[in-house]
Amino acid sequence: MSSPSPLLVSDLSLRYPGQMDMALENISFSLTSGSLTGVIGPNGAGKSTLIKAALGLLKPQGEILFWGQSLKAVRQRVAYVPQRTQVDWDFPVSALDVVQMGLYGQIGWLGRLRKEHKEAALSAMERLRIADLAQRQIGNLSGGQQQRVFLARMLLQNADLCILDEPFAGIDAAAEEIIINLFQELKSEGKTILMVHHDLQTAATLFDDIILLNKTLLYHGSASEGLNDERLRQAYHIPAFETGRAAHG
Amino acid sequence: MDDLGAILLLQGGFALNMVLFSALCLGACAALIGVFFYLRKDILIADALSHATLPGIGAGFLLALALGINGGMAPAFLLIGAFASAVLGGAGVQWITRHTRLSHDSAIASVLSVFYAAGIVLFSGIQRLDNASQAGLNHFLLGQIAGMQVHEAFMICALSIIVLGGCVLYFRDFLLLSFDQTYAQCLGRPTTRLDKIMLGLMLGVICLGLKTVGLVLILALLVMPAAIARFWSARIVPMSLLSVLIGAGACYGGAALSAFYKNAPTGSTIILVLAAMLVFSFVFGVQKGLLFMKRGANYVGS
Repeated sequence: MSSPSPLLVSDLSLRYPGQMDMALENISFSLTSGSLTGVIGPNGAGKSTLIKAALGLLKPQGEILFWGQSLKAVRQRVAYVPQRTQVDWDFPVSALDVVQMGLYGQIGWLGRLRKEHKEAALSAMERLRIADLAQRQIGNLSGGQQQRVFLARMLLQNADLCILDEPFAGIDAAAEEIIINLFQELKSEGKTILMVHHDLQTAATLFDDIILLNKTLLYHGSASEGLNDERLRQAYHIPAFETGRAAHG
Repeated sequence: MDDLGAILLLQGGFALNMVLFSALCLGACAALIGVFFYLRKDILIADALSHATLPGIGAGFLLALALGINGGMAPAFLLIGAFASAVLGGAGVQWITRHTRLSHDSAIASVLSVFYAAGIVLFSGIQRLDNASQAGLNHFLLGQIAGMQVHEAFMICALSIIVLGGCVLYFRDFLLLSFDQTYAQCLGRPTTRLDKIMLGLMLGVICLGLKTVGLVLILALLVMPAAIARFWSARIVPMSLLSVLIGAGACYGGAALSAFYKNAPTGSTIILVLAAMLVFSFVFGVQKGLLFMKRGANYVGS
């Protein structure tokens, strides 16, 4: 018996209340354990919607199983990194405070943050080379540093499945390199990673698998074979001669 | 009482000291729960809830009158009426936001104005009644601290302990809820329940603060101390403590001033004290006060 997939989605459909069109229709896929998978598609294709639905933040139809179980049963093994723009960066907390939020699920509402918790948080930050910024108010960090704070928080959760929404949006090259290295390390530790990604050019080299999405699932499989012109044209609804330009945007 | 200094130094006799102490407790707990709503940018829900208490107060009065209790002025009836009607208002805001295309702020505006209008119509009817002791009812609008009863003071103190305890116990959850509710949900925190607890604590502050500060202005007691404290601290814990100090101090000072200037409405006096503090902090505050703003500073991410 093979071990069940970290994330199995079958026949997922979702319509936002008050909307005529389906946001997602009949999506089915299952992630391979230890793989790095990118969710690719044009604006409005439902990429973020898909991961929010998988995480139970929206109420879709269809079945979603994590290692063959409901999310509730395995929540501690799943970590989520929201889009950076979703957060109020003027909030009066330090980078370390935000990283430590990764522990709130484990220690419960009465547990105290102890010294070893702080040390674990700092070593997660060290791994992303932001430990020296621990006491900074989060608004006083650059985009790449803010993103690494989120990733350190994810590391601290020590989850087996990490789900990220556009972790490469609006960050500098140095941060990008650190983050890519981190994903490779996590993969070698056997973790499964699923992320929304917008840059077609880097997709083929970055990911093992891709999920090509435009309201429906157009392709799920190997990234190196899957990203051909025909499929991209279909996903982005563009004539053949424009694919080159689309790949840059 | 003719010496403000003596009032502030608790030389004004038992009744006045009790009033000052209650004001201090009320200010402290309003300022504490207010921090989370301020940070969550959802402070106007407090305005909807406080205005939504008005028809409940009227209904509670009429019910007590019909039952022949004290000409209608039965504190328990008024309080329960206020609470029930505010819960209805809060549920209304939630329903409108979820099931119509109106946004959260429009839902707040609708509930606030409709409930307030209904309350005013009810109140004007009550004013024309005979055999009713409606004289003190208008204090719920603008607040009147003089003539506070011992049981009212006692309830405000009990409430302060509950709000303080609640905020300490749930500090981390409230923080997470205010910072990023989606993430809180992903961690498996019971966000719906926590949301209700947070609202419930604030509603307690509103209901017990009504007679002292008045429903029109109680919003300020919740938001202004937090806003002032944010000018002096960029960390949640010191900011919360500072907010409590500011709220307690302003209410204490404002209540003393209101007692000194005989019939000055308490709520308005307290808020003028807070406003002075806010203007001062706006200019001199070390966290983005006008004097400390770096010229051309580049704030990331907002």
